[in-house]
Amino acid sequence: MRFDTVSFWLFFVVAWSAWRFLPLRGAKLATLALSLFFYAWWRPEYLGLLGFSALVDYFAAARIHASSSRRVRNTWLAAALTLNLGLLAFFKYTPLVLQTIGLDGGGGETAPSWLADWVVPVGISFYTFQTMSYTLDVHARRLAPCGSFLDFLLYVAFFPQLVAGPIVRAREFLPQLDHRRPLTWQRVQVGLYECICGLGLKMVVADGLAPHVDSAFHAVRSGALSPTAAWFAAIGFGAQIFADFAGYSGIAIGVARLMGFTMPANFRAPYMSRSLSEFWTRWHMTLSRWLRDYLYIGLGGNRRGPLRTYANLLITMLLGGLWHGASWTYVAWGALHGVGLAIERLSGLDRRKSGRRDPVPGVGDFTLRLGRIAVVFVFVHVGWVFFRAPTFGVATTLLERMFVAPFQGSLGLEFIARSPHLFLLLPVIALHAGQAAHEWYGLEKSAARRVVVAVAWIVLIALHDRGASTPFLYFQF
Amino acid sequence: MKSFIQRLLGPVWPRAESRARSTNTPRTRAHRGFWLGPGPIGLTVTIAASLLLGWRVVADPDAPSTYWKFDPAVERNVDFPWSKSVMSIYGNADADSVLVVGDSRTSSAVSLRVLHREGIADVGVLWGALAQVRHLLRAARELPPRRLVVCLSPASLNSPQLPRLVHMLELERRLSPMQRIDRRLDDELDVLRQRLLRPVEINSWLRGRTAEDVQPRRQEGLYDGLLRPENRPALDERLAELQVELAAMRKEGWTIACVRLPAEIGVEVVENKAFARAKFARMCADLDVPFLDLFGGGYATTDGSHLLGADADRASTHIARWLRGLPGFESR
Repeated sequence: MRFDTVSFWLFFVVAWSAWRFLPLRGAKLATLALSLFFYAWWRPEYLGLLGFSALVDYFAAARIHASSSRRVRNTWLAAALTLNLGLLAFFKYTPLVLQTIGLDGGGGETAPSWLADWVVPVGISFYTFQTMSYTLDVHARRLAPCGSFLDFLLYVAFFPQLVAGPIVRAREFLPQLDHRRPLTWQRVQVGLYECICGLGLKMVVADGLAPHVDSAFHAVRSGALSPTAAWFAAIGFGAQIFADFAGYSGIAIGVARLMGFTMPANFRAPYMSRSLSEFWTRWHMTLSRWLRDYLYIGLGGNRRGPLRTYANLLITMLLGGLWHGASWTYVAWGALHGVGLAIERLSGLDRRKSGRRDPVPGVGDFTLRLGRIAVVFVFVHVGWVFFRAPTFGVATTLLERMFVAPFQGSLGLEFIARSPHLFLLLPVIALHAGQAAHEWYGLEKSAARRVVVAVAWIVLIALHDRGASTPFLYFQF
Repeated sequence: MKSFIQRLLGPVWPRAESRARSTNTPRTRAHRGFWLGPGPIGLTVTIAASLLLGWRVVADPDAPSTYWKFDPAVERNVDFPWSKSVMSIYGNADADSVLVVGDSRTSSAVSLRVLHREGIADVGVLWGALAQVRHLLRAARELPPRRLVVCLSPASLNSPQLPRLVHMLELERRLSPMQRIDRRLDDELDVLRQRLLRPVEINSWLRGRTAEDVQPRRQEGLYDGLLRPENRPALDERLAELQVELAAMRKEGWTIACVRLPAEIGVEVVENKAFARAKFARMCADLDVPFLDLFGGGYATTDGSHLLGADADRASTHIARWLRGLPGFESR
């Protein structure tokens, strides 16, 4: 079920009522049943996989906790991780592996029908990471195992975060099942605000940009793309994927908040980052912290010397890229970020990464700040070219149009006059400007400001005829 | 040096923390009660409703812009779940309505609003981009017989389907029953929204303001390719098949009229070169079916093939007045 459909909001009324009004145990049962219904709405056949994955981790974590033998604990952990990663690898990477070793029958139309119809179970990357984090936390004795399989399955299958995150940790979610939180007006206000902003970002910006970005990437093959149009392709996709995923996350967090749950934020104006390491504290934050805590630190982090630190960064980002999809272009995207992070650490440019409430002494500092933002922005969007391009050929051609073609001929600035859809970038710019005003100048995110923003989104959503809606991009990951 | 510049220029923007007052930390109890209670929600709803009401008043449904027609066309979207063809009727699908079939020219030229204003009240439009008229009629014949307007063009007699459209049709066929429910509910909401608010496709609306994107020759190349010499012999065969099919439909109880929708002069020249203009008129005369030829009417288009908003209204007015005079097509 998708958040931008009428069906979902009818479903949500039922789910909200069940959670708020039934006795706690009944509410948990009803919410679990409804979450499974939510997941099964389009493809019920993968429900078993979800249940199996949850059962494996629930059982393994219980065995790990019950044993004091290091060997036994490690064996159970290895078994759980192998099973989880095995399922993920099988469903997600089989086509890529077959293609790479040339066993896909030539690919395209000549591929066998079972391979052509291969479907990755929706949300498998997200719920696998959630269940793995539970087992890893129990193994590290950061968390006591959950006493109820019902609660654990609800943690895995809770519908707001099931399909595309945020990747919530068991220790954040399970205590919220102990009792129902009171629903204050302020919580309702913020929850509704998050839902409205999320819907606006998805329905107006992401769906509005999608056909233009698609046609720009298609035009790369014909070579008929001016440098300005090439830059739009990259920046447009950056705005589209941000609006799509931040929109989805915003709705998920808002919906959960309206029910009384608190979930971690997933995005915080990522394109105003002044370093790549700061970017990763603002973009898909729940995935970043998962990779940091369970992979980067697990590999040794920065405790084993500089060379090992750079290698760990590279491995983490490579695997982070591969997590996004079964294509070598995702690996290239991850590698690019890994190398960027390593260079940044080597040069010491990552030190001022928090960026919150820094003093603003004058024009010089302000210019430097904007300059660093611009450098990171360009780097990130070069990465998006690999992320979005179907092949390396398309990516390199587009990069050539962006960086080499401007010195060889016309910039094609008339593209701007012919492209009213560029106005769709404005909400993304406004959102980042608002966050900058908050972080740099201390402007409060007041209720009055929320009213203004919500009204703007409601009017845009109501009056903007978006045409065909597109699936959330992160559903495919 | 840095401190000198700082003293000289001062902060870019004085730090606001000291000045900013949060409404979340209000000064009075009444103030607090408003912002921490349901007040902001009520305020949001009130302001948004007022703005939308204002838009509703300002947006004149009878004033098409240069680019788009302000047409609340999607009144209902009826799938043909029983059909092998996956198509939808926009407008009214009732048995006593007029069904208009054709390619994308039909969707841009036929304004349900104008037809309604001119007395043809209940109309449904069944169309597809580069759709073939034989496919459209196959889908239409699964409905009970009714009044039918067939929009004719050489490309809709015989042209290869674009791979992207084939892919889209394939995706449509694969929709599960649940996805169909989702789509149906979304359509119903959209219908309500169209009726209440008159939404606009903002890109088109902005284009309409500037008319920058109107390229009357854009599709000449496309039609030149679709109607290239090797495809032409099949046009006559298809025309003969169409004649047989329309004759059969009349026997089944359909009341039929045919229209040749206009295009830009360049596209009209391409079509006339590939397919003699008189052939459609001759077929209709043979069938004793009324035929309206709007070719050569000097209509303006966005891309050579699809009419601009005001010209779409002009064409729709012409069609409506013509239909009103035909036996069986008077509004019921």
